[in-house]
Amino acid sequence: MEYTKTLLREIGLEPERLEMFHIGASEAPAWARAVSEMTERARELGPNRLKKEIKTMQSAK
Amino acid sequence: MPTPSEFRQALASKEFILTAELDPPKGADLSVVQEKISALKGKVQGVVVSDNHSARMRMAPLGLCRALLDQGLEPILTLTGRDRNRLALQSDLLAAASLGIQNVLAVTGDHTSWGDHPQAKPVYDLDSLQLLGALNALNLGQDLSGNPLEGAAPLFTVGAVVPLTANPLQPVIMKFRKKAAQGVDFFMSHPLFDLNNAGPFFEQTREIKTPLLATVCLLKWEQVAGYLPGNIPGLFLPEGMLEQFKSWGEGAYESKAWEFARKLIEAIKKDGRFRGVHLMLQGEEIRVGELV
Amino acid sequence: MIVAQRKPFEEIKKSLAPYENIVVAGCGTCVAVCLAGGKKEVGLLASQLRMSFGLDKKNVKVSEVTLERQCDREFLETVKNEVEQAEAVLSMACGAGIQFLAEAYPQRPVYPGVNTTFIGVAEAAGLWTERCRACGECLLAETGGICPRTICSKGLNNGPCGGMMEGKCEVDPERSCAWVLIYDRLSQEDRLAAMEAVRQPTDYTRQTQPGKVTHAAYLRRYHADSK
Repeated sequence: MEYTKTLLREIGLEPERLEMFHIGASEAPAWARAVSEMTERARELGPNRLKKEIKTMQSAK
Repeated sequence: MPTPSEFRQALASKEFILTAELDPPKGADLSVVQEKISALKGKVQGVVVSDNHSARMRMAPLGLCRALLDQGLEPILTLTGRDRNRLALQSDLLAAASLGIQNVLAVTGDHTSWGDHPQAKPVYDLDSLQLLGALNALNLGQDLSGNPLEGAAPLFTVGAVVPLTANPLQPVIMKFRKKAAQGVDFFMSHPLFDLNNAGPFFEQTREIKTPLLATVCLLKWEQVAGYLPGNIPGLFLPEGMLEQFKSWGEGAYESKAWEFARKLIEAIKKDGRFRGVHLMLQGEEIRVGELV
Repeated sequence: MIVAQRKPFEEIKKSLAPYENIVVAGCGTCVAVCLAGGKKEVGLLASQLRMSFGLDKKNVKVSEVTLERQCDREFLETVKNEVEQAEAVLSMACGAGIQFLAEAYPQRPVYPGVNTTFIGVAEAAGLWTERCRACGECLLAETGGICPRTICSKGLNNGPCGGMMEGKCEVDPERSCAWVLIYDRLSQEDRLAAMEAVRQPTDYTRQTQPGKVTHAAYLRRYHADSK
């Protein structure tokens, strides 16, 4: 996970966009917290620049 | 056959010898070290001129050694294997001999990573033992490939270095014996702070009678305060000594260090196992008179 | 094996900047073992390149192909199509493989994706250390199986040097002094006599640049038997 974050950092993407959580199948509250956390992070970081670029490139074809 | 150098004669005479270390300037201007040369004159029987000491690029020792001869001092040229291949080493030695420089201290040399050109290629084509071999070959009138030299062969007085307090000691003693067997006229120790620490070395090398000079090094306060074993190449400061030096405090350190050096020199003179003292004053050569 | 490290991403990206169609060529042998240029690493790097160029608003095609070895012509031939459809190649093989690939496809610029570092061994997962300098006159018989030309920072044939401190090397206090290691090993094997002789200087004619080896059985084929 640390390594993959490094790979993201190398290309200028925020490593916080990626995270790994160990959650058991029956741990619903933990799952909810993880989802809230990532949603909150996504809000703070804003839209992923790459997503926009890919859309632009695909529509330009 | 060249006349034996004054230093060679001093070694043969059994008198207690004093030498001092002098670094060439980082530049082409010898006037920068003139004061130090003048201070050393008459005080020591030999001046060991370093060779890119700690891999910091400076004028080659050849230049300063010739200047010392011109001013009536006796030079000992340090030659390391770090910067020159076997061709250049032999060439430089022959040039030195032609300029009247006959005393050579052959060492492996501090690694390039210590100095101010860390990206340079470390040569080490010859290690200290092989360099001693080259010196002996030249003295016999031939080069390392066995080719005869033209004209009169040089008469180098050959020196090597030995760490008396090494740990582990056995491999170091083995190397010391190898050096002695190659043919060395004198040895100089790594900086020594406590004569007792040299005991184990001497116990195992009684059979080697080559003259040995003990090096007395004056450390600066910054070096003591920041000392960690291995952060000054070739300098091992025993724990007890380090604590003692630190206990003096920055203010009192200098005068106490010089006093310590004076006492150490006296002890070395009386010891009986040493033929002399080599002073490493690290830039304070002007004050040599305070010690001798 | 040959150990290499992937070059810094910025450096790789910069060398590929002029192109819109790149193929990343991996190698399945040494560089795969040291996790620098095998199929998986090719996949990761290709992904990064696509994403990075994407962020720069550039639509660059990055293909991937991994061959068994790049130091053998028979494998280089297998990637003809992939190489020829691209404008440039990024080779993840060791320096030898990169050059051989470039030689096989001279019409395409071939860029290195790794820095080849040394001949070494896998000490542990993810950790490789150098063991051999390819000096051409292996002296391991006399040094108890420890190479002073590689392990000693100064490559001394007679050691230890005065920089040895507490059994460690003056250049890196975390590293053991090669000659202390040799002494201990020979001592264990009761072969200290091997260290007592003065070793002669290295024979650099054994390390001609560039080196060339012709197997004895092939001397006649390459007219090398008169040498």
